[in-house]
Amino acid sequence: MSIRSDSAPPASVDGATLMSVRDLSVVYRVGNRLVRALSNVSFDVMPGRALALIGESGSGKSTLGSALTRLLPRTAEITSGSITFNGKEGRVQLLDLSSEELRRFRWRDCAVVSQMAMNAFNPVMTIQDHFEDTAAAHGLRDKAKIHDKAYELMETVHLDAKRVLPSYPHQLSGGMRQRVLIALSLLLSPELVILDEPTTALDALSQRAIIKLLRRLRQQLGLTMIFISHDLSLAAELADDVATMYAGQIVEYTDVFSLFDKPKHPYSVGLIGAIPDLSADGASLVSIPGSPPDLVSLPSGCRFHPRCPLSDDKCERELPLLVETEPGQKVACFHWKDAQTLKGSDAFEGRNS
Amino acid sequence: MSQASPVSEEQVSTAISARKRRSLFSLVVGNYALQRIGRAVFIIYVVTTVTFFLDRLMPGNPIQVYVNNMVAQYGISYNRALQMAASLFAINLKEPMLTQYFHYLIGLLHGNLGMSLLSQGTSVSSMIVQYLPWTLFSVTISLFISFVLGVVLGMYMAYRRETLLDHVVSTLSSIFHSVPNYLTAIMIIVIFGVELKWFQVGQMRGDLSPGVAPGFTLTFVGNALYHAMLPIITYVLTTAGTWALTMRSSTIRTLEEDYVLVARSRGLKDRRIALAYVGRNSILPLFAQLTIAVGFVVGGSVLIEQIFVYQGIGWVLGNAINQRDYPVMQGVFLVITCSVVVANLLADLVYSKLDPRIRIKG
Repeated sequence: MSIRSDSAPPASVDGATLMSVRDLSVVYRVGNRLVRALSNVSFDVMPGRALALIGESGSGKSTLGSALTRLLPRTAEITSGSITFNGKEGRVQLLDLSSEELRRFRWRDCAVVSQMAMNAFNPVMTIQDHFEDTAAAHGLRDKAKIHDKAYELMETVHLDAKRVLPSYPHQLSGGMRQRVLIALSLLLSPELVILDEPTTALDALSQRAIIKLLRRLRQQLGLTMIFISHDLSLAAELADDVATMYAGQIVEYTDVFSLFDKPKHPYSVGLIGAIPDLSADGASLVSIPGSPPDLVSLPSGCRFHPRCPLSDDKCERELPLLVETEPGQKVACFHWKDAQTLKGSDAFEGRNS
Repeated sequence: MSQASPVSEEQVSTAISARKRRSLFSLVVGNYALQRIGRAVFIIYVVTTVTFFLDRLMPGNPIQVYVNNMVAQYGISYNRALQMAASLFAINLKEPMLTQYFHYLIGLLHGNLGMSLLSQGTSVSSMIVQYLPWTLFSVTISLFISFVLGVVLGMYMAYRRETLLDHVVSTLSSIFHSVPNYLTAIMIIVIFGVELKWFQVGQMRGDLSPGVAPGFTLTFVGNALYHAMLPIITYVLTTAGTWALTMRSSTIRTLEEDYVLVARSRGLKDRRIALAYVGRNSILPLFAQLTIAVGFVVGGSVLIEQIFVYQGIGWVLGNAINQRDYPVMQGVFLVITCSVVVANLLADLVYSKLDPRIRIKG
């Protein structure tokens, strides 16, 4: 894993956020049980920056991604909060939009490159059809123009437009489909692109290529992006800011360099310790003991306390809030000052391979 | 190099001839259409042979049936009736079965389906030409109606799951699917014809009312539809629900596909997603079943046409079976087989047009 040397523009000082999420809570109703997938999540996305949402499976990161374009499954319900999108069309409250307004908002203002690129295309339509369909849904019907734009985007993602555009999805490889989906996401020049596990379904080589492509797109187009991933190395390579999620909450929000340099939440420390380092021997690989909590019956107090080496009575009783420790850095832990001591220690059990 | 050349030359020549042989072989095997047609012809041959022998394995033969009828109806002595039958039917049932079979096959190759044993002087092919169109007419209309109805209802049910309509259609479909269609036919006659007297069953018999001449006139088409109405209603009632249930489950499966969610995230209109994404993909598996349905409806027309006295190919077959009219039975079975095989062939070709994953190899 490498920490990049290039750096995106810093968070704008005037505080003009592109998207701000406040106090967002989502529950799933499964039978008569409530699965609390997201609890009071708040964060801002600054224009031109890339935010990574990282966490284990079940941490709520994908639910958050779906909630941002209001594409949650039927069983999910947003119980509180607000999502404000402050784009070129003015300020909109996403939770107040009608379904027709939402439809227009999707892809034009905020495109989602989902983790299911393998199966993201209608099998009976060509790639060209998908571009035309998307454009037509947003009122663009000039086929020649759309074709030119599609052609140009194919070049941008390094695909042979002549071959790919008339193809059916099954004729393309997984990596190619992911590129096509990225190209398609740029069709309407959205202000925000959400990438949900953009590399997870791909082989290692395709992953590298997609990461390179996304970095280049960020540099060329200055895109604002949200990455959703369980893969810290993806965040390290692509993101400016990282929000670490645990059990439906953001437990740490910081810029990527500070996260890897001085993680403040014990969970972040554990996550970073759990990254396999190919250059070192297996002894340095550390795992976090225990497993994420059941979202139906959450532990009292801090949700991480049963697995945390620093937990004490207070952690069992009280839920720590996300507090600012330095400008642009927030953490939800009573003992964040001590988190550094966990780094490299054997507080998280070492695992020999 | 020169030392090795004779060996390699030999190898090359064998390789070339092998490739030539393979290319001829692969021309037939590799060509999708030719392959399908070859298989179709083979199936027709096998079914023809099986029905030829099965017909003759049925208890009784045309002469016995005729004789029994004569004895029972007119009180003629057995021997006298046998003599009458022998002079009436110019057939020789004493001929060995295999000889009869080869005669039949040779006739078939010349397009000669033989003569009816009981309707003297009528060829089987002329009977088929006369009666088949009526069956095709009623069956095609009912298949079309029930397929379209089923697809629309099924999609609606999938989109509005667990609503009243969903439950009502599901229940009715299960009932009509499990009740044999001839019982439905009888109930239609008894309830609506006899009890409620909504229509005159007697008048609706036959293919046309007396005095209506075939032609492209409104009277003719209207009258033909009037007479075909009861069979059509029966077919639609008994099959539309099954289509609806199949389409429902297929649609529910498609709704869970990633590309439907992605289409929504692309801001596509619900209508566009329902037609081009959900509907278009959900209907694909139904086409395969449509072909099976064609065979079942043509075959199933035997009982329905008997009940409504609708004079189509099923009615002819019913009568032929009763009287052991072997050539007619064989002819009609051949027609049914051909209709199933041709429908299958068409479906394969149409399906490959509809699904690019079959048409174009990835």
